[in-house]
Amino acid sequence: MNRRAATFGRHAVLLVGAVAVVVPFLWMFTTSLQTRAETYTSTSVLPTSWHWENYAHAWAAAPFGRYYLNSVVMALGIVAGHLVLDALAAYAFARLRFPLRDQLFVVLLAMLLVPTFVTVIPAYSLVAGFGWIDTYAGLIVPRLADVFGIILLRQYFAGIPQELDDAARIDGCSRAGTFFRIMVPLSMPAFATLAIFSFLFAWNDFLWPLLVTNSDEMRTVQIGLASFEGRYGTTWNYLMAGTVMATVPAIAVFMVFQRLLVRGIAMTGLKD
Amino acid sequence: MHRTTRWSAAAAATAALALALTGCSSGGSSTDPSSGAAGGGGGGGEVKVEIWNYWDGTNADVFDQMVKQYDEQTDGVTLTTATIPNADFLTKLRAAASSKTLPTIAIGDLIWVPQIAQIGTLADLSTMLPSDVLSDVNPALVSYGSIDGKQLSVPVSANNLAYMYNRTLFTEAGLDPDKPPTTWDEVMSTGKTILAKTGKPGYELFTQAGDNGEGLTWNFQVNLWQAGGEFLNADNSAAAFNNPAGKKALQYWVDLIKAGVSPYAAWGEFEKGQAAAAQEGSWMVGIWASDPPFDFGTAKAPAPADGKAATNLGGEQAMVFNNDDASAKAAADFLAWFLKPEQVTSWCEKTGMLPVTTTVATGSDYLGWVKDSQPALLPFVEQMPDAHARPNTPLYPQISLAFAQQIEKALAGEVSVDDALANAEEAVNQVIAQG
Repeated sequence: MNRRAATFGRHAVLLVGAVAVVVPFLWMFTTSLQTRAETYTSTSVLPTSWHWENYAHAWAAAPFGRYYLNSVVMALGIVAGHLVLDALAAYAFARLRFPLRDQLFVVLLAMLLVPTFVTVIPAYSLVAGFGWIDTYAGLIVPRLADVFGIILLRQYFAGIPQELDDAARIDGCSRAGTFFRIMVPLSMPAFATLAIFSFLFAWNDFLWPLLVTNSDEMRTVQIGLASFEGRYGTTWNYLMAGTVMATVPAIAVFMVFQRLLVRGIAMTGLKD
Repeated sequence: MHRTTRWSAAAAATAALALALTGCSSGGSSTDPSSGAAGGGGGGGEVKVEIWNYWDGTNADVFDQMVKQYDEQTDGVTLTTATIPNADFLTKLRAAASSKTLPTIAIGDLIWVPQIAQIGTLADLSTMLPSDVLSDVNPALVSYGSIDGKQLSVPVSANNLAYMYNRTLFTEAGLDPDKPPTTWDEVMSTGKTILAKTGKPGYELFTQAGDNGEGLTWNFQVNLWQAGGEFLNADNSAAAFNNPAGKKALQYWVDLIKAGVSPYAAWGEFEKGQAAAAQEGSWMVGIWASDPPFDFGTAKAPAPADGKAATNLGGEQAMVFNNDDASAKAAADFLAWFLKPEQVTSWCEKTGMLPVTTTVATGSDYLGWVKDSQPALLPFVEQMPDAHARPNTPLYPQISLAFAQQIEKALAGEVSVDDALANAEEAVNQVIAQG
């Protein structure tokens, strides 16, 4: 009896949590299928009408195809940059011995405390000086590496036994070889985590793409969505239809990498 | 040695990646600061005019079409438009100002003009626009851009506030939907009838300051002006509303709330069909025209029986950044063209915004179109001569918030009308004193 009560309690808590997570998405979906008049008057969380044409209208309201392409190029560029550059820096901090290494790492940690907004204007000035306004370079290059990724990977690398490196080095493997053949394969879960974070950061980023792009040719999905929130009222049905379309890739990436992350953990567990 | 080469190979690969990314750039940027005067940028002597605006939907489409039309009929000038989401418009301008990548023309909300004048150097349009253009513009709108003896902006689009009501609820309450209230007393009496018969509030007020305040403030200003008051003094150096006119206006609001005619609730009840009327912007007519949530009517903003007609002006003003002489001149030429009767008429008929020039607002062409195609706009158009503009000070956003936060307390019943006005006066004067 007591156990049943505990189970019931646990499920009640989980149910509340699930509802809290799902309802906003459901509301988004419901609103995306309403007419404009219904967005003012309807109070239902479940869909009451099915205006699928909202999706076509939202898609046609701005060059969303181009926005998607730009978002994908930008996100992939940033993810690739983070995976490569962060990993190289993290490896240096985890394994190489060089003067002031630990002090530099503390400085790097301190940089986590600097809000992004502080660096936005100087970064913008640099990008403008390079003539990168309204280019992919402006969208990607300033964000190719990030402190969070370096620290994440460095902590993971530091947890891999030094003996594995040593064994490889004794067998004649080069320093770069130990990095690519030992560290990288063993760190897949960390790379998957970083890839998820980087992709979501890049995909959802609004301020920087807004600042460095002007034309429809370079705009990203998130800025396209903002155009539904006009000065004279928001077209909620189209905004939500657009948001559903913009959320799908993020959810897909999360699901794919989530599986990889789990598998990665399983594999490393076996090797130990 | 072997090791070093590997690492330099990796470094080289990284550099190559960075170069490849730079190579992806989509041609020259139109914001190149040198492009205007030098006529460079591969345009063969073309002067470049870049226009930033926040319009969306129909407004954006119509504006882009008109810019294209002007671009095609004008030699030596290339015009481009960029849409900047309105919430981030000033942020983007500030960033651009930090590195000389400002556009040639910025078209933004009229209350931004004094702030934008501080962000960059604006051209004085009084000498650059033909005098007949400026003299034809609505006086309240044109005076708004007069700062320190210069004309720093010209209006390109306008809207104002009027009484909008739910005809279905009027009928349900046994009222004649063709006879909306014209005075404050009638707003109160019709509101009470509607509340008694339908159980729904008769007239919605913007009662909450929120984090911005302007919704409450600019709606309240209409009633303040109608009662004969002013918001700030003539040189915007002190509050001017703590007097009998201010008391009359605030008492009207408090009475409406006490009677239950106006809900003390978040804005939006009227738009949801839960309140019978509200003071709404003319743009709602255009937004609702194709797909109205209910049968709605419009009327001039009801005024006190012994007061004067008044409404509050909104809309967009165009500002020209003085990046260089050639582009500033080309920008002024475009604005002069945009303010010609033909263009003003075309803009207003296609977007549902109100005309900024008197010729068009009182001309038979436009009025004929309103009567035939968009009769709900007529009260708004007729109000244009009574319209006031808000104070043109860069401190206005803070003043508006400080004001709204104090007035809200009277609406919530926490302080008396007299105290709320005195507190608001003190808060507003403090904002001004702090600069």
